[in-house]
Amino acid sequence: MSDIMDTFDNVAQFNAYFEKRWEIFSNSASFFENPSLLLAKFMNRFTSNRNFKNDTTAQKYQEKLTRMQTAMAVGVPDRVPVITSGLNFYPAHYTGISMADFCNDTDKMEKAFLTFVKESTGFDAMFPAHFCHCVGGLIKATQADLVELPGVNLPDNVPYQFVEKERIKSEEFQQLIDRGMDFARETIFPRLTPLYRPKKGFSWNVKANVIKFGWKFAFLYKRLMDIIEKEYGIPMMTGMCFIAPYDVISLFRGLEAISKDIFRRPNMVDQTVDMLVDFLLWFYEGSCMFLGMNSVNLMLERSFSLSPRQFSRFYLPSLKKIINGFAERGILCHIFLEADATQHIASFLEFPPQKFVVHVDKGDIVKVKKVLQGHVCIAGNVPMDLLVTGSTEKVKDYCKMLLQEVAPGGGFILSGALGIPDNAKPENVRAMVEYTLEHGKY
Amino acid sequence: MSDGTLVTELSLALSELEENKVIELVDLYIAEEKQPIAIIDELSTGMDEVGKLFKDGEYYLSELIFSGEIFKNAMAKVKPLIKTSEKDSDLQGKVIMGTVAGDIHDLGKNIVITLLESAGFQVFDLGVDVPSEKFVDALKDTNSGLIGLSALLTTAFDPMKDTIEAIKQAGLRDNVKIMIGGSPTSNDLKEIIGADFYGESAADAADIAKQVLGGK
Repeated sequence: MSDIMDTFDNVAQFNAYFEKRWEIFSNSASFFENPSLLLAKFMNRFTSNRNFKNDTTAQKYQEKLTRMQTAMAVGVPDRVPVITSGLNFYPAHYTGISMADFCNDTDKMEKAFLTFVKESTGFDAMFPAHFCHCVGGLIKATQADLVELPGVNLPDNVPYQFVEKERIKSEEFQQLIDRGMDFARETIFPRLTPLYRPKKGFSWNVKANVIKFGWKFAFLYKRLMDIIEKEYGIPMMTGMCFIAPYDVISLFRGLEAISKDIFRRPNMVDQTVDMLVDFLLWFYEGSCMFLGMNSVNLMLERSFSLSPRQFSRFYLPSLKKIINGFAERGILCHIFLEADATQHIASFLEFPPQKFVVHVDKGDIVKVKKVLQGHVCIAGNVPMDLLVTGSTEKVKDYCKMLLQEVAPGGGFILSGALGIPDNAKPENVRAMVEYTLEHGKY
Repeated sequence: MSDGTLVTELSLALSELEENKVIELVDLYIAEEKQPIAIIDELSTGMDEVGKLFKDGEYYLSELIFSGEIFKNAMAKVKPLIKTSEKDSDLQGKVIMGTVAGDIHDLGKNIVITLLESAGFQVFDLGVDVPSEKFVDALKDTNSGLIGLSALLTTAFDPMKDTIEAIKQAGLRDNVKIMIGGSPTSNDLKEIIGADFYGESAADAADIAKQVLGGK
């Protein structure tokens, strides 16, 4: 694998190269017509282009992919697929390395992730655990105080956590609406990190560190996906994790503050959320294309806090634009309904059918299936605490319920609620997979 | 404090989240020299109704948060008017609250604290990432009858268990009831770690406190 950074003498040359490539993509007609193919071609020039290990692996991959695609198209596959969904630090726990090492040490992370993959080939699809690495690298390169990291400002075996605090004041909404990115560069971004200078932005050194990390991570991301698919025959189902437009504002205001804003200054919240949509769609689509991925994780992080009426007003319009935008570009969207947000599921009937998957966390997944039957694929929802502290018998009982109550009619994927918890018991995860393999045939 | 049955203009304004009306009425009552305790009683009735609307699925977390804000701002006007002798006599009991070690999330905990205070409980907030020893020390210092352990991460389950064990080791387990809450927690977890109560939502905490410590 070539290292692009080695071909440049200085940051200026590197930046010029990146700018030139991006300009080509931005202006190319095919960028909008078939972006994932275009980027995939580009990335393939610089990443290894493996063949399948052997015919058996290729066949296994195709079987799993067909099973997943059938379920996601709301069809009835040969068997209920079982996936990891979100993985995060579980491979660290599985192999006994610290979360700090998994987040900060590329070699240890790769070894741990691939060990987990090698011993977990029953899964029909996996999500990229090495996304933790991206968070760690970007936060360290920018010194942003958005997230606390294990081994940096948290103990070694505590997962990274978002730092909730007000980063935009309520009296600043109007300036943000009126002046957009200019205001953000002057006032908001400098609050996130001491390295961001008001109006001037990051220094060349910081930019170089971010871009250097980004490029290296992009290759790492693609390379590990390639290994998992071609050597172990397991489809990788998604690209990066993104958040809904309302949640971007919520994260920068803090959940307490935004919950007061929607009562005290509702119109401003509407305008601010709406202002973000085009930028986010461009950014999400661009990131997706850059990695050559044709699916995304879209986290609905704060929708659980809203009533259906509030959701319809503040959350749904911008969410629709994002999801429709993905659908138009052939990007499959995995929506993660964090906590119990099932009060909103009827709204999902307004989204284009079979162009997204709804991953259920808490709440009545049977009811979700009934409401969305035939419209969209449902995934979930073995409870997180069950996978961590429960017995294998109780895990199997829950899987039995899912197979009996939610699976009939197809359009269902079995997984942990939002994924495998960081400290799940391996025997429980195995029980979830084995039970589905044994009893999940249609 | 509140018997939860008498609906007044003020309690209704609070339960309907009419912030300006609540401020207007509180200012009016203060000007009319209405008894501060009586004003607080009406505010608490309003919060009781908010809790009921939340349990009935009419209100969600954002309404809970906003109602807590209105309540706090109203209380900030009324509390200074209460005579010192009246302040402690009307408190219903003491509760220690904290997010356990390794977890820095505090939103759920903060909402629970607001609801407990609105129900007349004295709450000692230990903050986030609280080690077991700090819970034990707080219990010794305050002699609280109830501890609330909050967490949003599955990796916080062991610290929850460790905290309960530390309380046992300190010989204090029989003197206190322990409730747990937070998105990944459950009734099953409560059984496994040896807690006494599980609050599925923030609104359950006040009910648990009334059950444990008594109160209206």
